[in-house]
Amino acid sequence: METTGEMSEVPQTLKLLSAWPSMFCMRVLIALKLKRLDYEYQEEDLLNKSQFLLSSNPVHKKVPVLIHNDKPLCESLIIVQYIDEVWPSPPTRSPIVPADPYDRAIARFWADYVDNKFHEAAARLMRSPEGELQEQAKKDMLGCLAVFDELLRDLSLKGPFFGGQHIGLVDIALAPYLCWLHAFETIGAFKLLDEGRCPHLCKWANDVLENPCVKEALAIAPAYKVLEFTKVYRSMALGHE
Amino acid sequence: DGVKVLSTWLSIFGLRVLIALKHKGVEYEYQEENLLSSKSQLLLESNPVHKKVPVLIHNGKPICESLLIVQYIDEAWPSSEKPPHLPNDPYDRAVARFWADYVDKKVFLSTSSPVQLVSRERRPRKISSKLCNLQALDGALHDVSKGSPYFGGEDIRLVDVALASFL
Repeated sequence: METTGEMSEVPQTLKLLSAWPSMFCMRVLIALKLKRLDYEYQEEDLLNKSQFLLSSNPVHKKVPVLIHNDKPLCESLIIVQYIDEVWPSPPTRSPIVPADPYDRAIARFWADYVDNKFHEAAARLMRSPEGELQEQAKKDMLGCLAVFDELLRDLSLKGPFFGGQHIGLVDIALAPYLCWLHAFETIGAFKLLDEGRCPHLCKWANDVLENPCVKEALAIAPAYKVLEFTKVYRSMALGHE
Repeated sequence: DGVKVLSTWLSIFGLRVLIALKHKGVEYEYQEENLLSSKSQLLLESNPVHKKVPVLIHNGKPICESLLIVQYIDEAWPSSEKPPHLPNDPYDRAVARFWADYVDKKVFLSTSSPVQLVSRERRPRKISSKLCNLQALDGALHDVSKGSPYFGGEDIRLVDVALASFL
């Protein structure tokens, strides 16, 4: 296993408890691949969680959980930051989390925004029947994408990604939703990522998907499979047969 | 090194920022925002996304979200006299961030909607969920602190700052 500096003297074990549709799990996969780390992948059935998962994350009982040398880590953005700190990037590549404290605070702010605003609205879209609640969720999702598009426009001089020349924390936070795009647009019967409305975000989507680590990580959740999954999820959430 | 804090006296989150600044011995200017009447132009420009307090403005650059501000304070004023709010070890740091996040999601969110607003039937479940969340925190304090008075061991750390403002 490739490791850097003093870490290479100590045997490292990495195990990821994951579920293939989860955008949070995909974030951790992207980070692990960017750092070229070897890890064991364990698929969890979220309707029948393993004892190991329940004991590794007793508080939330959720995936992803990264177990590093038998110590569990939970919450995707916390895990990604941990990976960045323990396995620093080589000088040819910027770190996932910026080095400058201010830039770091900004990156964390936008990563939190993905969770607190965009994901929250997407979750409402998934759980709401057609009608007012769903329309509001759609509107909120479109609003978030407009904000991201503006942010990319303002950052465009620094590079194609939210992280500048290289993929950073915000890119990792947002990229997995690209697997879910088709599902969101089908459930909501709307165009979510539109070239006319969000030209910068569309370009970003193409650029980020060309990165081999992102492509590999997102390959576990092809669009058609995610759509099937969301249909089942929705029928359970809405109490249908 | 101009430091300005935009907050209101009511804000639990603002209190976190003030605790962290005082702990580090950083001098700052405090601007009270009146959130009921009109927010200041400075606030609206500094936090256009959420338009909320607290905001820390350091040399003209705004930082928002209380836990992010506390981490920023740690990183922008690393000082050898006071231990940092976040531990130095990456794993301990991840654990501290986890519990600080837990405080925001579970303790704050569950305490922000008063029990009285919940119907009589649902009250027992709501109260027991608040208790469960607090029990989990209590368990964590026991495990993490190993007998010391704070989450951070002998000194005040991130999770202590996150929680203290609730008292």
